[in-house]
Amino acid sequence: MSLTSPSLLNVAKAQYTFKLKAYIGLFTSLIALHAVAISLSLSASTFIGTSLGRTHFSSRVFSNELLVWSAVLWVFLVSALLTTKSYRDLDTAFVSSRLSSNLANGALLLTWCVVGGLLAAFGGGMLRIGAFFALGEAAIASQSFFMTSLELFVGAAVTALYMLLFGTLGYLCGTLVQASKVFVIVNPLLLALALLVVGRDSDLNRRVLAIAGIIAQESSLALLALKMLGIAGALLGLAFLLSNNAEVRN
Amino acid sequence: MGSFFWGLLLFALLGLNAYAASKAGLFALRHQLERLLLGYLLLVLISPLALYLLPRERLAHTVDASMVFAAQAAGRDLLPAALAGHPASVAGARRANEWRFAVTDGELSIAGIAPHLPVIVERTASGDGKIYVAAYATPSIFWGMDISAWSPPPITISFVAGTLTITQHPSQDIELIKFMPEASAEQIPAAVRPQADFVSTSILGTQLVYIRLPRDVVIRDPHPDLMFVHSGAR
Repeated sequence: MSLTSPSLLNVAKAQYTFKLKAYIGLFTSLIALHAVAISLSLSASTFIGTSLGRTHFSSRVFSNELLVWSAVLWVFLVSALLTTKSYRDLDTAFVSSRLSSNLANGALLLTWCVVGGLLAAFGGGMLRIGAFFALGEAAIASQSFFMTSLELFVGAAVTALYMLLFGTLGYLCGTLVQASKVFVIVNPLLLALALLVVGRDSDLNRRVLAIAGIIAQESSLALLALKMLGIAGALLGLAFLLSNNAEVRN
Repeated sequence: MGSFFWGLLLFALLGLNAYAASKAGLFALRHQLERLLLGYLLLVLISPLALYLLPRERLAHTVDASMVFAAQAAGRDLLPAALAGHPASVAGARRANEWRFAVTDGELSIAGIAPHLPVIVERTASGDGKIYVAAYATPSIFWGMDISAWSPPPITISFVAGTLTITQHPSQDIELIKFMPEASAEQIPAAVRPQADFVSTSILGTQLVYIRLPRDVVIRDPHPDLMFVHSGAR
Protein backbone atom coordinates (compact mmCIF):
# COMPACT_ATOMS: atom_id res chain seq x y z
CA MET A 1 0.00 0.00 0.00
CA SER A 2 1.30 3.40 -0.96
CA LEU A 3 1.35 6.25 1.52
CA THR A 4 0.97 8.89 -1.22
CA SER A 5 -1.96 9.20 -3.58
CA PRO A 6 -0.80 11.18 -6.61
CA SER A 7 -3.44 13.34 -8.28
CA LEU A 8 -4.40 12.79 -11.90
CA LEU A 9 -3.02 16.16 -12.96
CA ASN A 10 0.32 15.57 -11.22
CA VAL A 11 0.77 12.23 -12.94
CA ALA A 12 -0.26 13.72 -16.30
CA LYS A 13 2.18 16.58 -15.75
CA ALA A 14 5.03 14.18 -14.94
CA GLN A 15 4.18 12.10 -18.02
CA TYR A 16 4.03 15.24 -20.18
CA THR A 17 7.47 16.41 -19.01
CA PHE A 18 8.91 12.97 -19.56
CA LYS A 19 7.37 12.60 -23.03
CA LEU A 20 8.50 16.07 -24.07
CA LYS A 21 12.10 14.98 -23.59
CA ALA A 22 11.68 11.34 -24.63
CA TYR A 23 10.01 12.20 -27.96
CA ILE A 24 12.64 14.72 -28.97
CA GLY A 25 13.24 12.58 -32.06
CA LEU A 26 9.74 13.38 -33.30
CA PHE A 27 10.36 17.06 -32.70
CA THR A 28 13.66 16.79 -34.61
CA SER A 29 11.70 15.49 -37.58
CA LEU A 30 9.55 18.65 -37.48
CA ILE A 31 12.67 20.81 -37.54
CA ALA A 32 14.14 18.78 -40.42
CA LEU A 33 10.85 19.03 -42.30
CA HIS A 34 10.79 22.77 -41.67
CA ALA A 35 14.30 23.15 -43.12
CA VAL A 36 13.32 21.09 -46.17
CA ALA A 37 10.10 23.10 -46.60
CA ILE A 38 12.08 26.38 -46.56
CA SER A 39 14.48 24.99 -49.14
CA LEU A 40 11.62 23.80 -51.36
CA SER A 41 9.70 27.07 -50.94
CA LEU A 42 12.76 28.93 -52.21
CA SER A 43 12.85 26.88 -55.39
CA ALA A 44 9.10 26.48 -55.87
CA SER A 45 8.21 30.13 -56.26
CA THR A 46 5.57 31.33 -58.73
CA PHE A 47 7.26 32.85 -61.78
CA ILE A 48 5.72 35.54 -63.99
CA GLY A 49 7.54 37.21 -66.88
CA THR A 50 6.76 40.10 -69.22
CA SER A 51 8.61 42.47 -71.55
CA LEU A 52 8.39 46.22 -71.77
CA GLY A 53 10.47 47.67 -74.59
CA ARG A 54 13.92 46.16 -74.42
CA THR A 55 13.51 45.34 -70.77
CA HIS A 56 12.40 41.90 -69.68
CA PHE A 57 10.79 41.75 -66.28
CA SER A 58 10.34 38.62 -64.28
CA SER A 59 8.63 38.41 -60.96
CA ARG A 60 9.01 35.64 -58.42
CA VAL A 61 6.43 35.28 -55.73
CA PHE A 62 7.31 33.38 -52.57
CA SER A 63 4.90 32.01 -50.00
CA ASN A 64 5.23 30.16 -46.71
CA GLU A 65 2.23 27.96 -47.57
CA LEU A 66 4.45 24.89 -47.79
CA LEU A 67 5.77 25.53 -44.26
CA VAL A 68 2.20 25.63 -42.93
CA TRP A 69 0.94 22.50 -44.67
CA SER A 70 4.09 20.49 -43.95
CA ALA A 71 3.62 21.28 -40.24
CA VAL A 72 -0.06 20.27 -40.42
CA LEU A 73 0.82 17.01 -42.19
CA TRP A 74 3.57 16.34 -39.67
CA VAL A 75 1.30 16.78 -36.65
CA PHE A 76 -1.35 14.50 -38.19
CA LEU A 77 1.22 11.73 -38.64
CA VAL A 78 2.96 12.04 -35.26
CA SER A 79 -0.40 12.22 -33.45
CA ALA A 80 -1.38 8.92 -34.99
CA LEU A 81 2.06 7.61 -34.09
CA LEU A 82 1.57 8.56 -30.42
CA THR A 83 -1.25 6.03 -30.14
CA THR A 84 0.88 3.09 -31.30
CA LYS A 85 2.00 0.42 -28.85
CA SER A 86 5.69 1.32 -28.88
CA TYR A 87 4.89 4.86 -27.78
CA ARG A 88 2.24 3.79 -25.29
CA ASP A 89 4.75 1.41 -23.66
CA LEU A 90 6.64 4.43 -22.40
CA ASP A 91 3.73 5.08 -20.02
CA THR A 92 4.69 1.96 -18.06
CA ALA A 93 7.49 4.02 -16.48
CA PHE A 94 4.76 5.71 -14.42
CA VAL A 95 1.97 4.62 -12.14
CA SER A 96 -0.62 6.02 -14.46
CA SER A 97 -4.03 5.58 -15.98
CA ARG A 98 -5.16 5.80 -19.61
CA LEU A 99 -6.73 9.15 -18.82
CA SER A 100 -3.49 10.63 -17.47
CA SER A 101 -1.64 9.26 -20.48
CA ASN A 102 -4.19 10.78 -22.85
CA LEU A 103 -4.07 14.10 -21.02
CA ALA A 104 -0.28 14.12 -21.29
CA ASN A 105 -0.56 13.31 -25.01
CA GLY A 106 -3.07 16.14 -25.43
CA ALA A 107 -0.74 18.59 -23.72
CA LEU A 108 2.16 17.33 -25.80
CA LEU A 109 0.11 17.80 -28.95
CA LEU A 110 -0.80 21.33 -27.89
CA THR A 111 2.88 22.16 -27.26
CA TRP A 112 3.90 20.83 -30.66
CA CYS A 113 1.09 22.80 -32.30
CA VAL A 114 2.23 26.04 -30.67
CA VAL A 115 5.88 25.42 -31.63
CA GLY A 116 4.86 24.27 -35.12
CA GLY A 117 2.69 27.38 -35.56
CA LEU A 118 5.57 29.63 -34.52
CA LEU A 119 7.97 27.80 -36.85
CA ALA A 120 5.61 28.05 -39.83
CA ALA A 121 4.78 31.74 -39.34
CA PHE A 122 8.25 32.98 -38.36
CA GLY A 123 9.78 30.73 -41.04
CA GLY A 124 8.61 33.42 -43.46
CA GLY A 125 11.52 35.47 -42.12
CA MET A 126 13.97 32.69 -42.95
CA LEU A 127 12.41 32.42 -46.39
CA ARG A 128 12.93 36.14 -46.98
CA ILE A 129 16.54 36.03 -45.77
CA GLY A 130 17.20 32.99 -47.98
CA ALA A 131 15.69 34.71 -51.04
CA PHE A 132 17.63 37.92 -50.26
CA PHE A 133 20.96 36.12 -50.42
CA ALA A 134 20.13 33.48 -53.03
CA LEU A 135 18.82 36.03 -55.57
CA GLY A 136 21.51 38.65 -55.08
CA GLU A 137 20.68 41.07 -57.92
CA ALA A 138 16.91 41.06 -57.77
CA ALA A 139 14.73 43.96 -56.68
CA ILE A 140 12.62 43.18 -53.63
CA ALA A 141 9.13 44.56 -53.12
CA SER A 142 9.53 46.39 -49.83
CA GLN A 143 5.84 46.23 -48.91
CA SER A 144 5.90 42.45 -48.67
CA PHE A 145 9.45 42.12 -47.32
CA PHE A 146 8.87 43.11 -43.72
CA MET A 147 6.43 41.19 -41.56
CA THR A 148 4.25 42.93 -39.01
CA SER A 149 3.97 41.57 -35.48
CA LEU A 150 0.19 41.21 -35.95
CA GLU A 151 0.70 39.16 -39.10
CA LEU A 152 3.21 36.93 -37.30
CA PHE A 153 1.02 36.48 -34.23
CA VAL A 154 -2.16 35.75 -36.19
CA GLY A 155 -0.27 33.50 -38.64
CA ALA A 156 1.23 31.47 -35.79
CA ALA A 157 -2.13 31.26 -33.99
CA VAL A 158 -4.11 30.16 -37.07
CA THR A 159 -1.46 27.59 -38.04
CA ALA A 160 -1.40 26.24 -34.47
CA LEU A 161 -5.20 25.93 -34.56
CA TYR A 162 -5.15 24.04 -37.87
CA MET A 163 -2.38 21.84 -36.50
CA LEU A 164 -4.49 21.15 -33.43
CA LEU A 165 -7.47 20.22 -35.59
CA PHE A 166 -5.48 17.84 -37.77
CA GLY A 167 -3.45 16.60 -34.80
CA THR A 168 -6.56 15.57 -32.87
CA LEU A 169 -7.96 14.03 -36.06
CA GLY A 170 -4.75 12.03 -36.43
CA TYR A 171 -4.95 11.03 -32.76
CA LEU A 172 -8.54 9.81 -33.24
CA CYS A 173 -7.58 7.89 -36.40
CA GLY A 174 -4.65 6.33 -34.52
CA THR A 175 -6.88 5.41 -31.58
CA LEU A 176 -9.41 3.82 -33.94
CA VAL A 177 -6.66 1.76 -35.54
CA GLN A 178 -5.43 0.67 -32.11
CA ALA A 179 -8.98 -0.25 -31.12
CA SER A 180 -9.43 -2.42 -34.18
CA LYS A 181 -6.99 -3.17 -36.99
CA VAL A 182 -9.93 -3.10 -39.38
CA PHE A 183 -9.61 0.68 -39.37
CA VAL A 184 -6.22 0.39 -41.07
CA ILE A 185 -8.26 -0.39 -44.19
CA VAL A 186 -11.55 1.31 -43.28
CA ASN A 187 -10.07 4.78 -42.57
CA PRO A 188 -8.39 5.35 -45.96
CA LEU A 189 -11.23 3.53 -47.71
CA LEU A 190 -13.80 5.82 -46.12
CA LEU A 191 -11.73 8.87 -47.07
CA ALA A 192 -11.35 7.72 -50.68
CA LEU A 193 -15.05 6.86 -50.91
CA ALA A 194 -16.06 10.21 -49.43
CA LEU A 195 -13.82 12.06 -51.89
CA LEU A 196 -15.27 10.05 -54.78
CA VAL A 197 -18.90 10.60 -53.78
CA VAL A 198 -18.43 14.27 -52.96
CA GLY A 199 -16.47 14.81 -56.16
CA ARG A 200 -19.25 13.33 -58.33
CA ASP A 201 -22.25 14.86 -56.65
CA SER A 202 -22.11 18.62 -57.15
CA ASP A 203 -24.92 19.28 -54.68
CA LEU A 204 -23.19 17.24 -51.98
CA ASN A 205 -19.92 18.92 -52.93
CA ARG A 206 -21.52 22.33 -52.31
CA ARG A 207 -22.85 21.20 -48.95
CA VAL A 208 -19.47 19.78 -47.85
CA LEU A 209 -17.74 22.98 -48.93
CA ALA A 210 -20.31 24.98 -46.95
CA ILE A 211 -19.55 22.89 -43.87
CA ALA A 212 -15.78 23.27 -44.40
CA GLY A 213 -16.38 26.99 -44.89
CA ILE A 214 -17.51 27.23 -41.26
CA ILE A 215 -13.80 26.95 -40.45
CA ALA A 216 -11.97 27.86 -43.65
CA GLN A 217 -13.95 31.07 -44.23
CA GLU A 218 -14.07 32.31 -40.66
CA SER A 219 -12.45 35.75 -40.63
CA SER A 220 -12.49 36.38 -36.87
CA LEU A 221 -9.60 34.89 -34.94
CA ALA A 222 -11.61 34.55 -31.71
CA LEU A 223 -14.48 32.72 -33.43
CA LEU A 224 -12.06 30.56 -35.40
CA ALA A 225 -10.29 29.63 -32.17
CA LEU A 226 -13.62 28.79 -30.50
CA LYS A 227 -14.73 26.60 -33.40
CA MET A 228 -11.37 24.86 -33.76
CA LEU A 229 -10.97 24.26 -30.03
CA GLY A 230 -14.52 22.92 -29.88
CA ILE A 231 -13.97 20.47 -32.72
CA ALA A 232 -10.50 19.48 -31.48
CA GLY A 233 -11.91 18.98 -27.98
CA ALA A 234 -14.69 16.76 -29.33
CA LEU A 235 -12.25 14.69 -31.40
CA LEU A 236 -9.86 14.31 -28.49
CA GLY A 237 -12.73 13.44 -26.12
CA LEU A 238 -13.88 10.75 -28.52
CA ALA A 239 -10.35 9.38 -28.70
CA PHE A 240 -10.14 9.39 -24.86
CA LEU A 241 -13.42 7.50 -24.61
CA LEU A 242 -12.35 4.92 -27.16
CA SER A 243 -8.98 4.31 -25.52
CA ASN A 244 -10.48 4.17 -22.00
CA ASN A 245 -12.85 1.45 -23.12
CA ALA A 246 -10.05 -0.60 -24.67
CA GLU A 247 -8.82 -3.83 -23.13
CA VAL A 248 -5.89 -3.62 -20.68
CA ARG A 249 -3.39 -5.22 -23.05
CA ASN A 250 -4.44 -2.86 -25.90
CA MET B 1 20.46 26.40 -58.08
CA GLY B 2 21.40 29.01 -55.52
CA SER B 3 18.14 28.45 -53.72
CA PHE B 4 19.23 24.96 -52.74
CA PHE B 5 22.32 26.35 -51.09
CA TRP B 6 20.54 27.28 -47.86
CA GLY B 7 18.79 23.96 -47.59
CA LEU B 8 22.03 22.13 -48.21
CA LEU B 9 23.79 24.30 -45.66
CA LEU B 10 21.16 23.50 -43.04
CA PHE B 11 21.41 19.79 -43.79
CA ALA B 12 25.19 19.99 -43.67
CA LEU B 13 25.01 21.69 -40.26
CA LEU B 14 22.57 19.08 -38.96
CA GLY B 15 24.74 16.28 -40.32
CA LEU B 16 27.91 17.79 -38.92
CA ASN B 17 26.32 18.19 -35.52
CA ALA B 18 24.96 14.65 -35.54
CA TYR B 19 28.40 13.34 -36.54
CA ALA B 20 30.17 15.35 -33.85
CA ALA B 21 27.64 14.22 -31.28
CA SER B 22 27.88 10.57 -32.31
CA LYS B 23 31.66 10.76 -31.88
CA ALA B 24 31.11 12.05 -28.35
CA GLY B 25 28.66 9.30 -27.44
CA LEU B 26 24.87 8.91 -27.26
CA PHE B 27 24.40 10.96 -24.11
CA ALA B 28 26.19 13.89 -25.69
CA LEU B 29 24.09 13.43 -28.82
CA ARG B 30 20.89 14.13 -26.89
CA HIS B 31 22.31 17.28 -25.33
CA GLN B 32 23.78 18.42 -28.64
CA LEU B 33 20.47 17.78 -30.33
CA GLU B 34 18.49 19.72 -27.74
CA ARG B 35 20.90 22.61 -28.06
CA LEU B 36 20.77 22.48 -31.86
CA LEU B 37 16.97 22.42 -31.91
CA LEU B 38 16.75 25.34 -29.51
CA GLY B 39 19.31 27.22 -31.59
CA TYR B 40 17.34 26.60 -34.77
CA LEU B 41 14.09 27.65 -33.10
CA LEU B 42 15.74 30.83 -31.86
CA LEU B 43 17.12 31.52 -35.34
CA VAL B 44 13.66 31.15 -36.86
CA LEU B 45 12.07 33.36 -34.20
CA ILE B 46 14.52 36.23 -34.68
CA SER B 47 14.56 35.99 -38.48
CA PRO B 48 11.68 38.52 -39.01
CA LEU B 49 13.65 41.00 -36.90
CA ALA B 50 16.89 40.22 -38.73
CA LEU B 51 15.23 41.46 -41.94
CA TYR B 52 15.60 45.01 -40.63
CA LEU B 53 19.39 44.56 -40.46
CA LEU B 54 19.73 43.71 -44.15
CA PRO B 55 20.88 46.46 -46.55
CA ARG B 56 17.93 48.34 -48.05
CA GLU B 57 19.35 49.23 -51.49
CA ARG B 58 17.52 46.37 -53.13
CA LEU B 59 14.10 47.30 -51.85
CA ALA B 60 11.62 48.59 -54.42
CA HIS B 61 8.97 50.78 -52.82
CA THR B 62 5.31 50.80 -53.63
CA VAL B 63 4.08 53.89 -55.44
CA ASP B 64 0.71 55.61 -55.19
CA ALA B 65 -1.53 56.99 -57.92
CA SER B 66 0.02 60.47 -57.84
CA MET B 67 3.50 58.98 -58.34
CA VAL B 68 2.29 56.96 -61.32
CA PHE B 69 0.85 60.08 -62.96
CA ALA B 70 4.02 62.05 -62.12
CA ALA B 71 6.20 59.34 -63.70
CA GLN B 72 4.04 59.36 -66.84
CA ALA B 73 4.22 63.15 -67.04
CA ALA B 74 7.98 63.15 -66.46
CA GLY B 75 8.47 60.59 -69.24
CA ARG B 76 6.45 62.79 -71.58
CA ASP B 77 8.11 66.08 -70.61
CA LEU B 78 11.79 65.11 -70.43
CA LEU B 79 12.65 65.36 -74.13
CA PRO B 80 10.86 68.69 -74.76
CA ALA B 81 12.45 70.10 -71.61
CA ALA B 82 15.90 68.88 -72.70
CA LEU B 83 15.41 70.38 -76.15
CA ALA B 84 14.54 73.62 -74.41
CA GLY B 85 17.81 73.38 -72.49
CA HIS B 86 16.60 72.51 -69.01
CA PRO B 87 16.18 68.74 -68.52
CA ALA B 88 16.65 69.02 -64.76
CA SER B 89 13.52 71.14 -64.46
CA VAL B 90 11.23 68.13 -65.05
CA ALA B 91 9.68 67.00 -61.78
CA GLY B 92 10.72 63.42 -61.04
CA ALA B 93 13.58 63.34 -63.57
CA ARG B 94 16.90 62.49 -62.01
CA ARG B 95 20.49 62.81 -63.15
CA ALA B 96 21.45 59.14 -63.27
CA ASN B 97 25.12 59.78 -63.98
CA GLU B 98 27.47 62.48 -65.19
CA TRP B 99 30.88 62.70 -66.81
CA ARG B 100 33.37 65.40 -67.57
CA PHE B 101 36.06 65.28 -70.24
CA ALA B 102 38.71 67.73 -71.39
CA VAL B 103 38.71 68.57 -75.11
CA THR B 104 42.21 68.06 -76.43
CA ASP B 105 41.68 69.55 -79.86
CA GLY B 106 38.93 71.62 -81.41
CA GLU B 107 36.81 68.78 -82.74
CA LEU B 108 35.24 65.49 -81.73
CA SER B 109 32.91 62.81 -83.02
CA ILE B 110 29.99 61.28 -81.18
CA ALA B 111 29.47 57.52 -81.56
CA GLY B 112 26.85 55.14 -80.27
CA ILE B 113 23.76 57.21 -81.07
CA ALA B 114 20.70 54.98 -81.33
CA PRO B 115 17.07 55.90 -82.04
CA HIS B 116 15.86 54.68 -78.63
CA LEU B 117 18.30 56.89 -76.73
CA PRO B 118 17.99 60.60 -77.53
CA VAL B 119 21.27 62.52 -77.43
CA ILE B 120 20.93 66.30 -77.07
CA VAL B 121 23.76 68.76 -77.47
CA GLU B 122 23.78 72.17 -75.89
CA ARG B 123 26.33 74.63 -77.15
CA THR B 124 27.85 76.66 -74.34
CA ALA B 125 29.98 79.75 -74.22
CA SER B 126 32.15 78.12 -71.58
CA GLY B 127 35.83 78.65 -72.13
CA ASP B 128 37.10 75.91 -69.78
CA GLY B 129 37.58 73.46 -72.67
CA LYS B 130 35.52 70.73 -71.02
CA ILE B 131 32.61 68.60 -72.18
CA TYR B 132 29.90 67.91 -69.61
CA VAL B 133 27.78 64.85 -70.24
CA ALA B 134 24.81 63.81 -68.11
CA ALA B 135 22.32 60.95 -68.35
CA TYR B 136 18.81 61.89 -67.26
CA ALA B 137 16.13 59.36 -66.49
CA THR B 138 12.52 59.45 -65.37
CA PRO B 139 11.07 56.98 -62.84
CA SER B 140 10.40 53.38 -63.87
CA ILE B 141 7.49 51.56 -62.30
CA PHE B 142 6.83 47.84 -62.52
CA TRP B 143 3.60 46.43 -61.14
CA GLY B 144 3.17 49.38 -58.85
CA MET B 145 6.74 49.42 -57.57
CA ASP B 146 9.42 52.04 -58.10
CA ILE B 147 12.29 50.25 -59.85
CA SER B 148 14.14 53.39 -60.93
CA ALA B 149 17.33 52.05 -59.32
CA TRP B 150 17.31 49.17 -61.84
CA SER B 151 15.77 50.75 -64.93
CA PRO B 152 16.36 52.17 -67.51
CA PRO B 153 19.61 50.26 -68.13
CA PRO B 154 22.73 52.23 -67.20
CA ILE B 155 24.68 54.20 -69.79
CA THR B 156 28.45 54.45 -69.97
CA ILE B 157 30.26 57.28 -71.73
CA SER B 158 33.89 57.25 -72.73
CA PHE B 159 36.02 59.82 -74.53
CA VAL B 160 39.00 58.31 -76.30
CA ALA B 161 40.99 59.67 -79.21
CA GLY B 162 38.56 62.49 -79.92
CA THR B 163 35.50 60.23 -79.97
CA LEU B 164 32.76 60.44 -77.40
CA THR B 165 31.23 56.96 -77.24
CA ILE B 166 27.82 56.32 -75.72
CA THR B 167 27.19 52.73 -74.68
CA GLN B 168 23.92 51.33 -73.45
CA HIS B 169 23.04 47.71 -72.82
CA PRO B 170 20.90 46.54 -75.74
CA SER B 171 18.50 44.75 -73.41
CA GLN B 172 17.97 44.31 -69.72
CA ASP B 173 16.60 41.66 -67.39
CA ILE B 174 15.05 42.80 -64.15
CA GLU B 175 13.94 40.32 -61.53
CA LEU B 176 11.46 41.35 -58.88
CA ILE B 177 10.84 39.34 -55.74
CA LYS B 178 7.52 39.52 -53.95
CA PHE B 179 6.40 37.70 -50.84
CA MET B 180 2.85 36.64 -50.18
CA PRO B 181 1.45 37.61 -46.78
CA GLU B 182 1.75 34.90 -44.13
CA ALA B 183 -0.37 32.06 -45.53
CA SER B 184 -2.46 31.36 -42.42
CA ALA B 185 -2.84 35.02 -41.46
CA GLU B 186 -4.54 35.64 -44.81
CA GLN B 187 -7.66 34.00 -43.42
CA ILE B 188 -7.99 36.90 -40.97
CA PRO B 189 -8.09 39.97 -43.28
CA ALA B 190 -7.54 42.41 -40.41
CA ALA B 191 -4.07 40.92 -39.81
CA VAL B 192 -2.78 41.41 -43.34
CA ARG B 193 -1.70 44.72 -44.82
CA PRO B 194 -3.82 45.81 -47.78
CA GLN B 195 -2.10 45.59 -51.17
CA ALA B 196 -1.42 48.74 -53.15
CA ASP B 197 -4.13 49.77 -55.62
CA PHE B 198 -1.91 50.11 -58.69
CA VAL B 199 -0.32 46.67 -58.70
CA SER B 200 -0.65 46.24 -62.48
CA THR B 201 0.81 49.58 -63.51
CA SER B 202 4.13 49.42 -65.36
CA ILE B 203 6.01 52.37 -66.83
CA LEU B 204 9.44 52.19 -68.37
CA GLY B 205 11.33 55.39 -67.61
CA THR B 206 12.58 57.69 -70.38
CA GLN B 207 16.30 58.23 -70.64
CA LEU B 208 18.42 60.68 -72.56
CA VAL B 209 22.00 61.90 -72.82
CA TYR B 210 22.60 65.61 -72.49
CA ILE B 211 25.91 66.99 -73.68
CA ARG B 212 27.14 70.49 -72.92
CA LEU B 213 29.76 71.28 -75.51
CA PRO B 214 31.85 74.46 -75.88
CA ARG B 215 30.65 76.46 -78.87
CA ASP B 216 34.07 76.40 -80.55
CA VAL B 217 34.32 72.58 -80.60
CA VAL B 218 33.33 71.13 -83.97
CA ILE B 219 31.35 67.87 -84.20
CA ARG B 220 32.73 65.67 -86.97
CA ASP B 221 30.10 64.00 -89.20
CA PRO B 222 27.14 64.61 -86.87
CA HIS B 223 24.70 61.69 -86.73
CA PRO B 224 21.25 62.48 -88.21
CA ASP B 225 19.57 61.55 -84.90
CA LEU B 226 21.71 63.95 -82.90
CA MET B 227 19.52 66.76 -81.52
CA PHE B 228 20.46 70.28 -80.49
CA VAL B 229 19.02 72.58 -77.93
CA HIS B 230 16.93 75.25 -79.63
CA SER B 231 19.11 78.30 -80.08
CA GLY B 232 18.38 80.99 -77.59
CA ALA B 233 16.66 78.64 -75.19
CA ARG B 234 19.14 79.37 -72.45
